[in-house]
Amino acid sequence: MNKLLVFLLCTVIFTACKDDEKTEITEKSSLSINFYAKMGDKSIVLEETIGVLNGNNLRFSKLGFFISDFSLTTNNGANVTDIFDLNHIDFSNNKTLALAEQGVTINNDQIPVGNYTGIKFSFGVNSDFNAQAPSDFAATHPAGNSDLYWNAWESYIFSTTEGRLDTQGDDNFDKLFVWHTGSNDALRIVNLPIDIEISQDEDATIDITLDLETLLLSEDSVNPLEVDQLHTAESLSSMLMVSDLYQRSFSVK
Amino acid sequence: MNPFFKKINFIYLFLGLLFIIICCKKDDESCEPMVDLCDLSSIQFNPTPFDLEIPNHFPNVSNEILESITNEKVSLGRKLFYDPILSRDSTISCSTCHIQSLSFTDGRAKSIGIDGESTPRGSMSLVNLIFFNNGFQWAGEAETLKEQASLPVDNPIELHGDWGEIEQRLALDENYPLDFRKAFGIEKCTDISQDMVVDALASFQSTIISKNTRYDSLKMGLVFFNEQEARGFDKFFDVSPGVIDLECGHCHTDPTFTSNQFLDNGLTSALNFLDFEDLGRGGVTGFEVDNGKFKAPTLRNILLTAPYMHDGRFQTIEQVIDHYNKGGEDSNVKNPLLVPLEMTNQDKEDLIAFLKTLNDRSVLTNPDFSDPF
Repeated sequence: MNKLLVFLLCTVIFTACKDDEKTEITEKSSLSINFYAKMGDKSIVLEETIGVLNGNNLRFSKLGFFISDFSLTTNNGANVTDIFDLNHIDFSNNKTLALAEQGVTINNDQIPVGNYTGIKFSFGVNSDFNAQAPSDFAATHPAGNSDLYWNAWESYIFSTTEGRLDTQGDDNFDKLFVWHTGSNDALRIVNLPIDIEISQDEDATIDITLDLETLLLSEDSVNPLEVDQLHTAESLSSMLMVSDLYQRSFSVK
Repeated sequence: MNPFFKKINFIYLFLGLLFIIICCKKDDESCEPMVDLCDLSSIQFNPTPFDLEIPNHFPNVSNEILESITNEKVSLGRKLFYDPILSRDSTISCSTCHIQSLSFTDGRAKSIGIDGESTPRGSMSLVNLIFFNNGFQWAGEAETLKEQASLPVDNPIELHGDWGEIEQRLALDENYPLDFRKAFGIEKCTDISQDMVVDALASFQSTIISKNTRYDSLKMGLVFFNEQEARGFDKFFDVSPGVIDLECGHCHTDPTFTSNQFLDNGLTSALNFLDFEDLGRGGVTGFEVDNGKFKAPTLRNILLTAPYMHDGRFQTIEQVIDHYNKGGEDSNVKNPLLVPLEMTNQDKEDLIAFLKTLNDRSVLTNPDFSDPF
C-alpha cells in the first residue's frame, strides 16, 4: 500500500513539474524606454540657457547617470526582474534641440507579454556591483569606463550634473558647478507607476522624464552658488540630498 | 663603309635581333617561375596568438580583439611602422613623428610632415591605445585604432601616400609578400591590401602598453610611495578630506591616466563656441558645442613628452600646472572643473613627484617596440 502511495505521489509530482515547464514558456515582445532630460517642459540642450536659478541664467554642460536592477510589476503583483542590463544614460548627445527631444533609448525585445502597472530601477549601482571597478570590465562596457568611476570613493559615479551660471547678468557664465554623486549610500530606488500592455502585436514604449526643476528648484534643493563642487568626502551630506532629489525627479509621461 | 660590310652588318643585326627575340621567348618561359614567386599558397600560414600581458588593474580587452592580434601581424606592423615605404617619396614613416625614445611623441609643438610642412597639432603618444574607447587623435578624427593607423598614411601633410601605389610597392618588395602571407594568409602578393596594412599597424600599436611605472608597482603591491609621492597622489585624486583637490583625476583617470573624453581645458578665452581658431572636436562632429574640445592625453610618461597641449604651447610641466592653478583662461565655455586652485609651491612639488611615478622608461627601451631594420 505504501509503495502504491509513493508511486502515485511521484506521478503527481512529475506531472505537476511537466505542467510548470509548459507554463514557463511565455511569449516575448519588445519594450523601449526613452529617457528625456528636461527643465520643466523644456528639453535640455547642453550649453544653452535653459532657465533661471535664483535670478541667474543657467546652462548645463554635462548630464548622465547609471541605472540598474530594472524590474517591471505585472497587474497581478508579480515582478519581472533584470529586464535591462546596467546602463549609463548619457545626455552628452543633447547638442541640439532635435537631438535633445530624441532622448536616450534602451531596448529589450525579450519582455514577457502582459499588462504592467509599475517600473522600478536603481539610480546608481548596487553595493555588490559597486565593489567592482572599471578594470573588471572591457573598456567598451559602461562599467569599464574609467571616466565614470571615482577612485577616491572607490565607487562608480552614479550621476553627473555639471553646468554654469551667469551671476552678473552680463552673459558671462562665471559660476561653474560640478555635482557628482556616488558611494553605496547614494543609491536610490525609483518606483514609477505605469499602465502598459506589452503585446506581440506592437512594440511598447515608456517615456521617462528627468525633470531638473525638481533637482534645482525644490524647497530642499541644494544651491549650486553655495555648493559648487560635489565630489569630495566633505560634501557627503549635500551629495545625499542631491541623490534624494534625483529620486524624485523622474516621472513617466 | 664598304657595301659588303654593310650587308654583313645587316645580317649580323638581323641575327642579333632574332637571337634576342628567341632569348626573350625563353626568358618569358623562365618568367613563369617569377609569376610563381608571387604565388604564396605553398608557404605555410599558421598565425600564432600574441601573448599580450595586461596587469589586473588595467581594463579588460575583449577576446575578439585579443584573438585578432597575432605575432605575425605584430611583427609585420612593426616593420611597416618604421618603414618609409608608406610615404609618398619613401622619406618618412610613422616613427618619424612617433619616436620610441620620446614615448612615441616627437618633442615638437607641431609635427613636421612629408615636405617639411607643419601639421596643425602635435604628435600624441601611442601608449595604451588598446584601452581607448572613445576615438583616437586629438579631436577623435579616427573612430577605431585601425582608422587611426590609416589616416596619417594618405594625409597630404603627413605621409601623403597613395594606397594603390603602396599596395604595389609592397607586392613587389623582396620580403613583404612573405610577411603578409604569414600574417594574413594571402594567396598572391597582389592580394596585399590597405586593410591588411592598417590591421598590422594597429596590431603592433596595440602592443605598446605602458604598465611598468612606479604607480603600477604600487597598484600591484610591490612598492610604497614615499611621503611626497603619496601627498601628490592624494591631491591628484582627492583621496583624503581636508587635502586640496587639484581636480586632475577627473580627466586623467586611473590606470591609463586619460578619461578619453574631449574637453575644453580653458586654453582659449572664449565668449562663445565660435571663438576658437582650432575647432578641435567640433571640426569632426560639426556641433558648435564641441568646438575647442580636445582629447585628454595620457599622463603616462608626461614628464618625458614636452611640449604640452595639442599645439605644444607649454614648454614645461610647471607652465601646465600654472595654467590649471589659475583655472585656465576666462571662458564662457570651458569645462566646469576648471576653477582657481590656489596651489602652494608644496602642492606643485607634490604633484610633480606623483607625476614622476607615471614615468615608464620600459616603453622607451623595449626592444619589441624598436626599429627592426
